[in-house]
Amino acid sequence: MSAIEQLSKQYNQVQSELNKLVASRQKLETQLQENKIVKEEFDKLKSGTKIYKLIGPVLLPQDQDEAKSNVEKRLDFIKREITRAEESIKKEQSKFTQSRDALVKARTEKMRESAKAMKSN
Amino acid sequence: MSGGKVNLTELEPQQILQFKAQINKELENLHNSFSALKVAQMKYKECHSDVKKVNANPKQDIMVPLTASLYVPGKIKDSDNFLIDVGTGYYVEKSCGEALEFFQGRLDKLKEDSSKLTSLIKEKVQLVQRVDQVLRQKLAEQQKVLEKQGKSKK
Repeated sequence: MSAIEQLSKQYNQVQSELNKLVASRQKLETQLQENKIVKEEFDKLKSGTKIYKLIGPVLLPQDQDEAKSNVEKRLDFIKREITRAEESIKKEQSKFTQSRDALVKARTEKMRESAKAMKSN
Repeated sequence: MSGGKVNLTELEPQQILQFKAQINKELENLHNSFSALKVAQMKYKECHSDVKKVNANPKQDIMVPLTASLYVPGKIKDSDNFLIDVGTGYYVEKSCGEALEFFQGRLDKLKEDSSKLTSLIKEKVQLVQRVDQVLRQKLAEQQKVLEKQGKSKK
């Protein structure tokens, strides 16, 4: 039983890891969408429009070009993070199927053994 | 969609139940996003009407909250320009017309999204109904088979 227990423990661990990764991927997606909206809004601005950034409780005036390039940079960063997150999700997923298969295999073997034992009894 | 339906009639009742639970979960998520959209819509509507009101009554006296329990009297010096939160901590200065346009744009977008969501929810509800139907049919068939078996035993 201990082998199966160990396998199922591992399985649960991998599963929760996978869930965590998927959650962080979703978070990145929301950030991406929000930044996209901000970029759209910035693209529509006239050149003289003032932009402020909320830092703590203070609104700090910001240069328009600087704000634009900041959002641009952030978008790039988030996109990079997303590709990284997807890679690790893929890796974790293959680990997940591996450990699931191992668990299923161990369980069926165990059942077969106990069935045999029943018969011989 | 029709492919799923064909499969459905071949499934065991238990599997159908599982499938149904899954759809219901999705449906719940959709309902949650729908109410979130409604809340956002309300907020933007409020902003829209506030901009109009402030612009219509210039030089209005207001109480400015310094903290949640401390207020000081103030006057709106400039009722033609507004600072608007465009997301991720950035605020943009806009004139009254631009501000109204901005909020209207957001409202239109939200309306579009929520109508999309409504049709999606409708689809899912119909799917649940169909699944229920198949499930009932299955159970009735099983019942019949059981009755027949009972009769032939007698």
